[in-house]
Amino acid sequence: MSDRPNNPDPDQDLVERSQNGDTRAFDDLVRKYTPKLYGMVYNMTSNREDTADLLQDVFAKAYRSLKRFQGKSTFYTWIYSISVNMTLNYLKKRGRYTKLSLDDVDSGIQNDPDFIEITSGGNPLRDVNIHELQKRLNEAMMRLSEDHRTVVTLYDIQGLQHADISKILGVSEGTVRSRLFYAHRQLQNYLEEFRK
Amino acid sequence: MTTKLITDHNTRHTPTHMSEFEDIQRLIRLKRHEMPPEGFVNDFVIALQERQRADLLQKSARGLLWERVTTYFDDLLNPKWALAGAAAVAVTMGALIMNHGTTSQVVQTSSPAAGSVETVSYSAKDDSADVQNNLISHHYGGGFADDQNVLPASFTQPFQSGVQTAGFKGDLEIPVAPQR
Repeated sequence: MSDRPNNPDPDQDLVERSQNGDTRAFDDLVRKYTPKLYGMVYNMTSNREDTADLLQDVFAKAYRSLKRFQGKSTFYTWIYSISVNMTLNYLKKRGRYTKLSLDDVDSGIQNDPDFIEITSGGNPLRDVNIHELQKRLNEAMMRLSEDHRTVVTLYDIQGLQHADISKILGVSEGTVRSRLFYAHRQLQNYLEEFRK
Repeated sequence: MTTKLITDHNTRHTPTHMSEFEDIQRLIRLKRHEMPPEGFVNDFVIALQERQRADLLQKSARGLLWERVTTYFDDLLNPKWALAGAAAVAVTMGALIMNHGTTSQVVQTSSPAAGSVETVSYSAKDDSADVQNNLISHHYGGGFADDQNVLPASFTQPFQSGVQTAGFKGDLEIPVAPQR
């Protein structure tokens, strides 16, 4: 999986130092990627305690495997692949039992144009409570299959490109697009009441 | 701002079906505002460091245990122990082979000459019975104190050359070598 024909990995220096035993360099990588990976795992599990535990496992595994990382892909793609695989494995073990334990919604949502539009005068759900909306969105996400939830998380929430997602998941871009299509169609049904 | 968002959105989603789901995608994107508590990252890094340290210690403990086990087995397989073990095996094997060889020899000795076929039965009981009979005859014949009945006469008579044969009488009557 080589996703860097010409572009140097921006994390190359930190990775090499970590491989040579510099734990501070690895801490920097953890600090850099924790927020992104947290978002990915959280949106897959809808449980913040599980997310924190899983993320610990992800970085512990990354640290153990770092010596074998040969730089054929970027560190970013590599660590995302580990996170996605471990999260999917965890979800398979957890089964269908899901207890939502949601993060707080930051105050930035009040200024988000999408939110403003949803809660504007023309929308029948203009008086919707933020927490109610959050709960409904998470429930809808959890009704998706794990594969569909993964692509929605990576594409719609995390803003990754199709090409990156295909490398992370090890599937073709066509498969990514196809999964997105079906996932969006399902979400449309689950969240019909929030649409104009 | 809303216009800009829609423009960005359209540049990202070139396929036609993407615009079909624009509403739903905008809704889902609101999930970006769900955030872990403040200070989460720092606490997370500290927890990870502690975990790695604990893992390292556990690994060291396992390594130590492994080292002790290997040392124990190294000692066990020390050349001196190996030599002693090999010697014990050799002695046992030797004893077994010799025992087996003696039995075979007796059988072979009793075998008839080549050309004639004869079955030979060997019984250890027969030998022991002979010995026992001999001993009993010694005992009832006066024992070793009166050996002239059993032993040859030369055995009890003083030896002229000064060399003495074994026997109780010989012990009592010390012969005197003739003066020349």
